[in-house]
Amino acid sequence: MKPTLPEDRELEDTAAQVSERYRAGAQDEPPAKLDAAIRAAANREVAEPRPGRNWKMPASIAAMLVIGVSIVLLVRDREPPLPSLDHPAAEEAKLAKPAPSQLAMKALPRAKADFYREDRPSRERTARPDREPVARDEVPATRANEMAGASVQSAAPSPASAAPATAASESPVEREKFAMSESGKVVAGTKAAASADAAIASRGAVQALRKQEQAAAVPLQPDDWLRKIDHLLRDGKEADARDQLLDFHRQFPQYPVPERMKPLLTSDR
Amino acid sequence: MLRARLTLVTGEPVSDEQLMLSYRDGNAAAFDELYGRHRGGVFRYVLRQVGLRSAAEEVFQEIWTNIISSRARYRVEARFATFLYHVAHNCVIDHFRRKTPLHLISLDDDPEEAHQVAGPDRDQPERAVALRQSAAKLLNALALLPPEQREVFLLHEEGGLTLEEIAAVTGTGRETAKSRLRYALARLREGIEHEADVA
Repeated sequence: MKPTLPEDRELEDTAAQVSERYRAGAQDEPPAKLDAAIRAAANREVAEPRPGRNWKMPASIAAMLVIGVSIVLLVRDREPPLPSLDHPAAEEAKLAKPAPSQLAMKALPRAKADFYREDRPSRERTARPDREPVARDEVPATRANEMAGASVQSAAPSPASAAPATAASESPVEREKFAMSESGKVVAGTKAAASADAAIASRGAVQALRKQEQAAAVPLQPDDWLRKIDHLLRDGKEADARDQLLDFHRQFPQYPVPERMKPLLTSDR
Repeated sequence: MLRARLTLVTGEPVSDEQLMLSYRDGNAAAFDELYGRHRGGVFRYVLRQVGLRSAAEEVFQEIWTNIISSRARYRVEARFATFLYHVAHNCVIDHFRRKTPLHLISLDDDPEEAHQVAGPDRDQPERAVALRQSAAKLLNALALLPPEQREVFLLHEEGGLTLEEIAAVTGTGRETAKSRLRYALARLREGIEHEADVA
């Protein structure tokens, strides 16, 4: 220590005086065996470096690899994002949005719409001319809009495909026309349908509805329909079978129902 | 503190830092030389603070184990003595933390233990006779110093550290280190003179 300031030099002088006496009595040293142990440890360190000292880097790389591979696998196996359940009404509003062809049909003048309606070949119309207005007036507007929503899934059927005149086989265009019928409940029906759709809170319910309406859009022959009802009964789905049979009986009132199914027509829900 | 320097064939002394770098590169003989230079000073620095010889040996071994372990990471950023006594300072602090409450030296302590701290090695009684009286008095006075002042004095005396280096080791400012050293020297000198007056 080389003092530069006067006070530092004074301090150093004092330290020198004390140091002389201190050194005279400060002879303590570590024992020889401790010296030997420390020197041996130093030699061992040089001769054989401890294994596993640099474990941090390999461990870090391994951890990063594991995490990276896991993320890649997760992303790869991930399904496409589900529709948001937070806004089911908006989701269903999209589905209920009519196709462009239907919009064009809406824009048609009333007379032209009636023309299409009258030209539709329908066994039902010919078979029960007096039933049609009453039955259609009884159908609630929500039901009409549900049918319109189903039409998004299937294109407007050709007149030939609508040959069997059943409610299930009515083309979406006709359903829309029906929704615009003389009752003048189009706007109210649309709002009611939106609220009803908003009540469907899960994607599974929406898909089930789509399937049901798609199935309904496909025209079934009476025998096929009855066979389907029979399958439902065999599977124990009596409620579904009863609904289907009631629909069947409404569409084909003259068609003979098998005896084993008749109890369903009279049974209470 | 005068310290013998290893001299190469060329006559140039090898510094502590060069020796440590040589040891880092695998030269075990360089460590032997380095250890020989500092073993006494470090041991006394520890012994004067922890008190008991057995505890001092334990801390002393811990210090050098840390130095050996840091071989691969060693870089010359300061004097080796500063690095060495910084490690020693930390090991002493760790020792006191492990041994709480602190082993304070007082007149009520076992005289044998107190003798170990303040007096000469009891294993060599003949040497005690040879020691001068003033040295023993100074050691007694040193044992009674506040720990901070004692440490600063020992770093200056045993380690040969400057005030800046002492400040770096103890984690204080230079002026604080200087003040502590001044108080320590004053009290040690008073202790010697007081003993002389009493005698």
